[in-house]
Amino acid sequence: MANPGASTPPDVPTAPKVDYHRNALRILFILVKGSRPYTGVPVEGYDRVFRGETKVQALDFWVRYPDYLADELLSLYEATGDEECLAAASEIFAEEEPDLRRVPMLRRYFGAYEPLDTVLGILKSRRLVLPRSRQMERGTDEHDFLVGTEAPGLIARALADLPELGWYDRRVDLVLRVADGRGGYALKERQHRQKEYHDAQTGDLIPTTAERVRKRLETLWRAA
Amino acid sequence: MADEPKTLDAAALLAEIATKSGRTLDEVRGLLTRHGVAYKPSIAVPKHLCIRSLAFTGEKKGEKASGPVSFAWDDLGPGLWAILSDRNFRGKSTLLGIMKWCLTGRRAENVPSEMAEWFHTVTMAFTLDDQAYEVEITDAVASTGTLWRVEGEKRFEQASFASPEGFEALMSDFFMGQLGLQTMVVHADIKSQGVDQSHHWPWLFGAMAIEPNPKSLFGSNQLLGVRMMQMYLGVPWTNATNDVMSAQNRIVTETRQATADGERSRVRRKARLAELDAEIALLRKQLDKLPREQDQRMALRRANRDVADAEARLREGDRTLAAVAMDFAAAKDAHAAARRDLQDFRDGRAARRVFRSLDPLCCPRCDDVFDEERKQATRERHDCVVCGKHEEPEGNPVTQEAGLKDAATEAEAAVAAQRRRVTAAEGALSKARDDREKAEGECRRLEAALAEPSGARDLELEIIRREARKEELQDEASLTPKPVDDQAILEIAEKVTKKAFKPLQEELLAEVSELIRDYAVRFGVESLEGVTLRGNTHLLLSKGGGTAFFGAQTDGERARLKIATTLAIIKVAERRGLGRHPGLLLIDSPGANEMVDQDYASLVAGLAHLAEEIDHLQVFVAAVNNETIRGHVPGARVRYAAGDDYLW
Repeated sequence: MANPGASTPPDVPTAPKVDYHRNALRILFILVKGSRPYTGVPVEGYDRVFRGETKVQALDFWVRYPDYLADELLSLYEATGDEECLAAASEIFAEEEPDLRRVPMLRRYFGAYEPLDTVLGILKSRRLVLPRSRQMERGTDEHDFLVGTEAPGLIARALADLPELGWYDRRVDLVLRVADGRGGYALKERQHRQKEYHDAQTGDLIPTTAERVRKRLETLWRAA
Repeated sequence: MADEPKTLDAAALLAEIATKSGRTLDEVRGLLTRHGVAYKPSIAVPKHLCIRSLAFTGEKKGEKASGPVSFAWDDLGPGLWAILSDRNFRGKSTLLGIMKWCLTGRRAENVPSEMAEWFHTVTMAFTLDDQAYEVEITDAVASTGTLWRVEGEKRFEQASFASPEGFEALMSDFFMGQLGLQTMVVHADIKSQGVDQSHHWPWLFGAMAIEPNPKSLFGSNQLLGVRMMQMYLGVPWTNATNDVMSAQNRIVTETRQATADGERSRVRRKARLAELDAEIALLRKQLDKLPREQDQRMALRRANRDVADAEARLREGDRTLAAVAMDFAAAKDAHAAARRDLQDFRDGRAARRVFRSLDPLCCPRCDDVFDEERKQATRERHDCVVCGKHEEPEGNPVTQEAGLKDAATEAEAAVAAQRRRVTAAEGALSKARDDREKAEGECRRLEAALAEPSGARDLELEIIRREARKEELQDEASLTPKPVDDQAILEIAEKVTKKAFKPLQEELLAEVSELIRDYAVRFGVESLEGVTLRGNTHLLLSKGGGTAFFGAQTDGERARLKIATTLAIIKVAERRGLGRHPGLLLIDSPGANEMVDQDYASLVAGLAHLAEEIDHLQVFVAAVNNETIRGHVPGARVRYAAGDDYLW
């Protein structure tokens, strides 16, 4: 199989192999669960819509960095006294999610960002998602995502066939609850408040905050 | 004197002693002087004593014959004199006793005690060779008087006396000096105590008095008799020998005493040493209980070292822990990564299954929907319906998952190992921390203890004091004087000195023995064939084919043998000009055990002849009146109490 002529020179770092299918499935969970009924010009085969790519990126960040999510949950707990938030944060650490579930993201100019082209290609070719561009009044493009009529059914089947995928289901629900209907820019602003996120150099992986959050959790847990 | 046998002089004797003992002459001389031994040549030149007159006054007391006394006996001289009475107890012995009193200054043994106060004055004149003297007792009861030297009509006071002791001392000094006699000091052991006994004139005078039943030939003491015999024989160095022997006895006694004293002090010392040991042991025990400053300082140094050591371990532990913690963190990261890989794999697999169930319907680029033909064709060729790429069969996902699981398990084991390292490092660190705390506490405690005064120094001083006392006692023990080794030299001196006079003594004794035999026969000792006088004063008699000793003879025979012996010595002295017997004999008659007439007559006859033969000899015989005596002693030489009369 190996073709010596075509092999990569050893001193060029190979990019980590990206699992597009896993990314596509995670994005699908976000788009389906975060969508609402589509009321615009009807498009055959699509009946729901998810508005704004920034919001997708922001929600995806919380799914990929459970430590940041836990931090936000603790802030919510402090703000509201909602013990479910404390319990949810505690659960994240009990399951070692900051270690096991973290899927690193790069820091881009505006924050955590990963191009969705390939993922959307996978989803679009199967008529699960249809990306749309809207011309905004301020002159920038805003991306919306129409969600295929088959998509919710596919997710339901997948959850039935593969129970381990339940984590995505529950996690996206939690993230949506934490987002609480806020828009993409609001969420981004929220995420920038976290020092490690904000201070990360453009082009670097956003660092984990697991140890700091763990300590915060312990402090709050003891105080509770 | 000219033919004096080979006597050695003092220097020669001392030189010989020095040579034989391996000492210097000075050492020997010093040693002998220290022991009171005088090596003086004592030339025994015979002097002749002769009583010239006797007179006394007084008053006899009692029921019989009381009344004033006035006795005088003048014109006495050499030769045989007799004091006779018809009956006993008529004053014969007392008359001899008064002569003895005057000559010795001692009344006690010579005049019966009941007569002590009868005499008022006593005067006795005597000559020593040609010199005249007079003893005048002016108060016989108080013993006061004078010894006069008489020159013609004049008297010169030689010395006077005012007590019995003074009289005795005076006469003793006078005769000892005049006759060249030496006081004999004998070392006697009485009840384990060494006592030096002096024997002087009253004892030596014994050679002039013949008692009726003599026990020994010379004097009254068998052992001292040897010395007395030697003295009168004029054997040289006998005094030195006697002194040497006395010194030896003294040393033996002193050594025994010193040994006993030494033993007593040894026992005392031993007890004291044991006491000291016990005290020292007690003090040491107390000291052991006390923390000693030296130990405390050492312990403080140790504790300081422990602190430093613990701190070093703490620093090392910190470094180790930091390194181990990094390893631990790395291991945990690796473990997390391995499990994340597994999670990623599972998620990816699930995602692929989801999407595989749903084939692409259109091109994601141009949105063109794939027709059935294309779908059919690509499916049959196992090519991608979108890009046409040949689909390689996937690797066995079970194998892949197992590999990832193994990696996770390995990573977990690595974490556990690193955790153990961390635990160990933390344990070491915590122990080092505890050790440091403990050592610091010990330092503080010891510093505080050292600041406090401890009794240890005092106890140590007490121990040192006792050790010093012990040492002193042990030194004393080693200093205990050893028995005097003078003894050996004295033994040599004795041998050398005896050897010096033995030949002459043997010669003299042989001569004396021959004369004794001659005289004894003349005195009527029957069938006497031979006589041997030995150096030890034993007189061996050959009689009728057998031998007998002096002691086995009858009283009369012993008296005659004793007189014969004394006269023989006087005769030999006369012949050789060597000897010290002054030639006076006072012979008391046997009283109750009177010799048989015949024997006594023979004795007196023999004495009469001898008195003619030895012209300076003066003999007084006291006896019951007897015809034989009368036949040999002219009337002018007799004092006689007839019938019941008293001599005075």
